[in-house]
Amino acid sequence: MPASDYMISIDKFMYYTDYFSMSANAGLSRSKSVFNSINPMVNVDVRTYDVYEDAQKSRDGLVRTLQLSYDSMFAESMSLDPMSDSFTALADYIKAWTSNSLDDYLTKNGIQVTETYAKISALTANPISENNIVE
Amino acid sequence: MAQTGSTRFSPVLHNITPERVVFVYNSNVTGSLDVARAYQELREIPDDNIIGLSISAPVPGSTAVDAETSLTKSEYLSTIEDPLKDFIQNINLVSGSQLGSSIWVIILGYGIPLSFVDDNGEVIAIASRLHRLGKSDDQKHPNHTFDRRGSFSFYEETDSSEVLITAIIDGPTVESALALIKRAKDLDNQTFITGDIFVDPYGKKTTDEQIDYQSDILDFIENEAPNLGLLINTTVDIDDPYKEPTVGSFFKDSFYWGWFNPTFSKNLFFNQNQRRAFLYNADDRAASNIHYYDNENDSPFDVNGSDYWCNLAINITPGYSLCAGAVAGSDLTTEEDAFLRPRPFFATLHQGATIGEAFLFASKYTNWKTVLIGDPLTVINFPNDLPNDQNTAYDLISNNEAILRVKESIEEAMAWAARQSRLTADIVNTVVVSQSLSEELHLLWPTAKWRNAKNTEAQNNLFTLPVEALTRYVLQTTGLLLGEWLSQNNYSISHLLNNVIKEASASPVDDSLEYPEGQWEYTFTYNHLLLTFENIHFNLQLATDEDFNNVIFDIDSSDDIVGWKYESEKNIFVQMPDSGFQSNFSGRRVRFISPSDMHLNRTEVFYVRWRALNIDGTKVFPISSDYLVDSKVLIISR
Repeated sequence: MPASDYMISIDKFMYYTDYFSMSANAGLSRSKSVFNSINPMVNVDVRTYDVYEDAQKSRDGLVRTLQLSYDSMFAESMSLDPMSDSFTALADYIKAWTSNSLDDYLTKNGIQVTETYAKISALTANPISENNIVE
Repeated sequence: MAQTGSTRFSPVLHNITPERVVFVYNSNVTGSLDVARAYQELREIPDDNIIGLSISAPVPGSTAVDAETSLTKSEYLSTIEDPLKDFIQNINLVSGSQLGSSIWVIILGYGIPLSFVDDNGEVIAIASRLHRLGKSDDQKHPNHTFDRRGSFSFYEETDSSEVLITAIIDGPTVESALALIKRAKDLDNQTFITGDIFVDPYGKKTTDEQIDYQSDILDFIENEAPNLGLLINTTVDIDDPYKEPTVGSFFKDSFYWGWFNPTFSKNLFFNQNQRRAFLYNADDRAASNIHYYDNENDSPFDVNGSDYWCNLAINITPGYSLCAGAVAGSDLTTEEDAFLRPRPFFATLHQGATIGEAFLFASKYTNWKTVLIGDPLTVINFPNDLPNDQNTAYDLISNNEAILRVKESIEEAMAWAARQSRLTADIVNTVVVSQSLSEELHLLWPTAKWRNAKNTEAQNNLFTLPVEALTRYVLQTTGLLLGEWLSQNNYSISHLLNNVIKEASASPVDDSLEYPEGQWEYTFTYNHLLLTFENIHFNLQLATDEDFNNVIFDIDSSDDIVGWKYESEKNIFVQMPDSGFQSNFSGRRVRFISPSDMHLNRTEVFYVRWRALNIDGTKVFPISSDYLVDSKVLIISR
């Protein structure tokens, strides 16, 4: 394998880190939006129902379902599996190419990653120094 | 909770206490002090808050209908405004009031002239000028407390830094002025008012201002009057521009609100058991001659049987506790836009405010023509409780609004889910097109695994359960399928949500109910922080970066109102007019819905910021920075 094949431009590297963190954030935002759907149903004025038969039961059922959906989506968005494989793979790729840890690579090239990226990276045994994180 | 020296049954909700009130009497008029003392006793006004002014224009008991004379401006300043200003400043010095004045209410007693002639010949009501005591004397000054429908609050100390509550307790005789005080006491002792509201919405229809005023009265009849629990007795419109409908006669009336015809007959007010509370006829002379008395016939009424409305309110039996009217017309400006508005007047009363507050909040302008006659501290109870949308303690939402909000939150969640699907797919595509074997070797398998876990099918599966529960809920609480509910309420649905419904539900929503692709809307709440009344426009920016270096849309409602709406009633959005958003809707929401040439790609995210500008383009909000940046990004979900 030619050495040049391992080369990855800084722009490309930053594309991956940006998209990884945007994708992880999208999952969190998805669950947050589901969470926001619970409050209106909790605060509904039951006197404004047009149909009362089983309405209260239905409301309780919807609140419960929304809560369950939020719980499962939040758990899924916080789960490292399967996204951690991609974070680890990118760090390994940098290591294979430059012999540097991800953090050293960032420092040497003056690159900063998002806080989301740094948090997930740390959980995959690739910690990132504060200086290399966008404020 | 204020204590106002009354014998009321119900709790006092407003903030006006006896020490906030100054009562002014004319030391040159016999009986004027007696009226002041009677009022002091009723409301427990401190001795230090009673001021006698030596005004050399005793007017009560005049025999000529047009005999009411106005002071010259210099007479007004030297005998009323300047001594009163000094008097209140001394009280403020003692009290150390920080935010405004410690005096909130000025009452002009028996024998105080009604008006003065300003430098340009305009007749100004003294009580209206005193709203702005110590402030700029620009005529027809916009009132920042007008119509607090957006977010109601009682009159408070900050308001007193700009505008005071004023009223007149006066009439043709000492007895008539004392009668106003007695009637206030009687109203206080009433559990709730029982008579009808008589309304005459129809007057002239020639100008836009006249049509607007008629619309405002009809809006009151439709949207506010039914909340009060009283019967409404309205005149009927007649399709004849040369005839003006008027009330046939008054019986079982507690309120009258009408306009145009400047005179009426005392003989058409019948005797009744119901208390007469408040009368207002919007014209240019209703309160112009309240001191009139026909000594020859020993009567406060016109011998020809045609009296101005406030003369009737004060002098009939049983009489009204309060009335309002103009002391003069104007040759310089149209009058209709300065008429009192019924909706804020009654909505304020219904909140438990004093009638002085209701009068002020119903007045578009101060330092002008219209005055309140009677005890401004009167509070009137209505049979019905406040409606939910006006009750600041009510924090529940209607079922329709709850369904709408749940739907919109789920639509937003689905947009985020779709964004995640798209981003993970984009990552894999980037790896594939890299044509780098090592890049593919390291990244293809893990990124493809991530993409597969977040693809559309996987995401939709997560939403099946809540979407099924929502459609079931709509059916069980409204009796309608979701599509029927959307149609009935004129709502739409996102394409992404509809896709899941099609998979999850036996009752799919018709595609015609989907939002246009790429449409977006942004909603924010405007809170007016200035003590001025403004017509406000908004500037909204969307950018692809959080520093707003790449602004893709810079939208200004003063350039084009297309897409701009505001919350006219709670949860009801209507088109914003060319004149902008009125600051009295402070606390309500403003919304921009993108027209087709501003549609964006679904699942893209943008940063949003906005600011409020007044009609001249001057920034009014936020005060401390250029824009208010939304901490939440906008995702295109439609």
